[in-house]
Amino acid sequence: MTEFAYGSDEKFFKVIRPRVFFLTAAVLLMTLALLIRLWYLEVIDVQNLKALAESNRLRQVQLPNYRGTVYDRNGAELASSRGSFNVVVIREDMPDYDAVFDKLGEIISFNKEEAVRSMMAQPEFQPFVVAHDVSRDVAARVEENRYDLPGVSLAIAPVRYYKYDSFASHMIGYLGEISKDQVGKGFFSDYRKGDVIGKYGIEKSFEQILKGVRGANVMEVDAAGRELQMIQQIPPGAGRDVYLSLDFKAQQAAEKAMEGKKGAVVALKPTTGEILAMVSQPAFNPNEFANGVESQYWSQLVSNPYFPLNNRAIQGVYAPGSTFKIIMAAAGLKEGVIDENTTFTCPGFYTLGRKVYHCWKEKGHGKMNLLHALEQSCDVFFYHVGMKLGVDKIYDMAVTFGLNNKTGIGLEDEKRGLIPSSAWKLKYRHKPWGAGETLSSAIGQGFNSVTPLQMARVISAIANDGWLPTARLTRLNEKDAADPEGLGSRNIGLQKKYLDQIRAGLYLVVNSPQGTATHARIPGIDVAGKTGTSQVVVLKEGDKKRKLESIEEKYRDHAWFVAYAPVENPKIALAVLVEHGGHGGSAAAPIAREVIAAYLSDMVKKPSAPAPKPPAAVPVVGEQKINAPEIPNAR
Amino acid sequence: MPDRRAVGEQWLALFDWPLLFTTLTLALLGVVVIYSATFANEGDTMRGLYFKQLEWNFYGLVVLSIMSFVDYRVVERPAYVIYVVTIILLIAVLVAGKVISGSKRWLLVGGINFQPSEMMKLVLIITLTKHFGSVRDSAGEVGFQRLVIPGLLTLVPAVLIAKQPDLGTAVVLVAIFFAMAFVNGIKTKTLLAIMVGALVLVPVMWTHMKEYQKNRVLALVNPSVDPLGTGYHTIQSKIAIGSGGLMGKGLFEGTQSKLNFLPEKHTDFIFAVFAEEVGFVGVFLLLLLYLGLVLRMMDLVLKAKDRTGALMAAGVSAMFGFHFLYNISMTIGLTPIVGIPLPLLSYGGSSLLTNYAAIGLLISIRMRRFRHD
Repeated sequence: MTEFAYGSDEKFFKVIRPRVFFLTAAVLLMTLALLIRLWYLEVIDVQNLKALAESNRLRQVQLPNYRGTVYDRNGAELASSRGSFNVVVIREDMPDYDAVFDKLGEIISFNKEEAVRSMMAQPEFQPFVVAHDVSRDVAARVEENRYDLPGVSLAIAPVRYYKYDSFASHMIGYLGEISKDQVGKGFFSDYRKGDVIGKYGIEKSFEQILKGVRGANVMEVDAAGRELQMIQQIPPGAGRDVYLSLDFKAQQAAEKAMEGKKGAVVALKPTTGEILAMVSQPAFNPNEFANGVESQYWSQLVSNPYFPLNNRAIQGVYAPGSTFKIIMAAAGLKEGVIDENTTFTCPGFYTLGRKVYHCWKEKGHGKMNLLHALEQSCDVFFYHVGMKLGVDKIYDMAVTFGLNNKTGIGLEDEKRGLIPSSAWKLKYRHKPWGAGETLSSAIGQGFNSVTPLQMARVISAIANDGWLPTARLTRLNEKDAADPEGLGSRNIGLQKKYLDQIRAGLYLVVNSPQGTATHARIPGIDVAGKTGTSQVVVLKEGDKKRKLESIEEKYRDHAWFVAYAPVENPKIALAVLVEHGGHGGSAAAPIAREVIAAYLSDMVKKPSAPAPKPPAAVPVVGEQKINAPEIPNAR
Repeated sequence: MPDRRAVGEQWLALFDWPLLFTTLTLALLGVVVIYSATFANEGDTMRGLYFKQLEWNFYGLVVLSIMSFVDYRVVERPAYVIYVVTIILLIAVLVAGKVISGSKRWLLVGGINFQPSEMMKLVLIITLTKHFGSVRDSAGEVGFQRLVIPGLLTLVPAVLIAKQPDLGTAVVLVAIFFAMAFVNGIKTKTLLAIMVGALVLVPVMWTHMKEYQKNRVLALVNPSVDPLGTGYHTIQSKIAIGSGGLMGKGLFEGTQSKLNFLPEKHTDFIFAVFAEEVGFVGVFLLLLLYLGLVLRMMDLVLKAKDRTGALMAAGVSAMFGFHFLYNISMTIGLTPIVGIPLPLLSYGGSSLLTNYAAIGLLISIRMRRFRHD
């Protein structure tokens, strides 16, 4: 073995020694680096990676969860959930989806190309819904053909059902699929793509209560997505039920009376502010959205020029017209610019400088006190009151009555309306307030605008001894209902004698032959109220004499009527607005009458004689000597 | 022959028991982890793998024994012949190899699939040793021109193996070459020049890389770009390792491997299976074992009787060191995924036999360090 020259190896080992040390150090350092990284993964980041391992391993198969039922105050089911069958497919279970879809096409009709595309976008082993809410018949046929339809199955899914279709649709609202931007954010943090949520009305406002708790089977899956075993079952919890304050009969009567019209009705319990009826016309049918599928119906609604999706009761703003005279009377009495004996003479007009402001009654009302000015809605009387008060005193009282502010009823997109003041005018119109504008304000025209709900509260406050109730959507129990301050009602600070004077006037509006709302009379029930006419456009002098029918509909005035009943112990207060209805007395008052009669049906005198026709425009002889003896300060 | 007698009498004392003990510990651990990774699978093929690995370990021990009792200088003698034969085998693989999951790596001989590329690693070590030994430059004076032939000796099999494609093993050959050249006494200046040259070569290589190879490099930069595609392996491996936590989920309790989220779980990603089940504590001990193994090998570089033994020890150390460091770093997402198994633990007969043979060679070198001839 002499070819190995071992002698020279000594130098070799001397040279390589540092090199081997260098390599050893490198190996040690790299091992240390690996350990640091492993420490990070297994000790620092362990929670995160454990969660990822779990989410890898576990799949939640959702179990149907039923949404709470919405009832009226007496337990009538308005919105409920029913079981339905969806036809679903699982791509991985279909050896030949083309053939299966062809076969399925013989049973249900669906767009095959689209279904294939959506199915392919689905994660592995996730069911894809081919058809929603199929009939029992179709479900049975799918079941019968299950051997020819591998991968196809029926899934039970809850569907929202609105028993009375468009009944109270603006209040109850509808459901829809959660939008992409909402998923997982804020309130919707535990919602997922494809979840159905309340999109409107009570369904939206009460989502938290109605939705319930999602249930799921927690399945262990392998990397291929196969379900191996159930690890845990999370039972679904049905949503809680909601009892609305809504009264079915009152709502039904209001809807029937409003049929074919446009406008709104809001009825409250004056003592508690509970909504008894809330109608907005035109309405919509929430059943059409039940599957969360955007349909042709939706585009119809959106393109409808009358905006059926608008809740006019809280979103419609209209000039209050003569209903505002209630607030004028309250302000005048409270500020002491008038008392019950103050009289102004109405020649049919009022002059301010060179301008002439007319009363609605051209010939004039003659000598008027507050009682009769309310009864006959004399504009000139309230022009005088308005001039004595000035716009800011009017503004103060209107705000006291809850105007110029949202009522906070808890439905979305409520409007606040507008009550002008001199400060407002200066700030937003950059002009000082004009005296003529005070005159417009005094009769509820001009800048003034209010929602029907706001006016329903105004009339409630009059009926409820000066307590302005907080409007509420749900039924109260009796104990809560007995405590006005606990209800959040606010006293408007008007002495009882002033309230009585106003109420006497409102009583005459309905019950005196000269009253403007004789159409609202109900045998057996004393009704008090105030009519109003909200000008849409200022008509030319000559047009005023024209018959309503001869004016193009969109130029006709809106008709208002606010009322409460029974006078002795008010149980219902309401505001009716009929868009382009003309006069409040003829267009709106009869609707109020129907609602009151339906709600207080026990009190309506069953006529022994032929049914009493609604009082004709010409007062009936027997009712001529009408006064209100039970109201002490009435004359 | 006094040296033979000396070995014969003292072999019990001179035998490298620590190295053998470490080797066997790792190898048996491998059998257990392979069992854990595969017992939940459907079908007997996968489930039986741990037993096959046990068999390979037995053959490996036989190989180790033979290698340790043969003088390593005898092994060196036919190096070029063995080299040529192995090259022919590699060519045969490309021509008539068996394709398993997209790569031609296996040659069917006598009913057994084996990978000549695994064998090539050891053959290269011996061949380079012989070459470096035959050209007696002064230590530390090896210039560039002296690296041309050993470079070619390395590149030819590396290219053949890369073509299979098996980038991992090709890279291992290059690593062995550098380590041995460095230990043999390459000039530092030359080494730096080669490194700069390699950096320049990277863009050229990039254009010649296959799409999936490029994707693997890209996935390393950001694995979540395509979590179900290229980055999937890295993500799932990190999830498996990290979710083990400090103490692990318990032996045989790893969900990532049982439910098949881990790719290549019994071969290249066996470390992830291990880490998921025994946690940081177990991983720490495993790394200590590997470190002990490699340091013991490197220790021999300076303790060998002669240059031949030193170079062989350097080559084997480089092979094991590179394998274990690279394999673990790729399972924790530090380096691109290439097919580099964890030595002694990963399933695979060819790789196991090669490793046992290499360790046998080192035992032989250590046993003969005090011989007098």
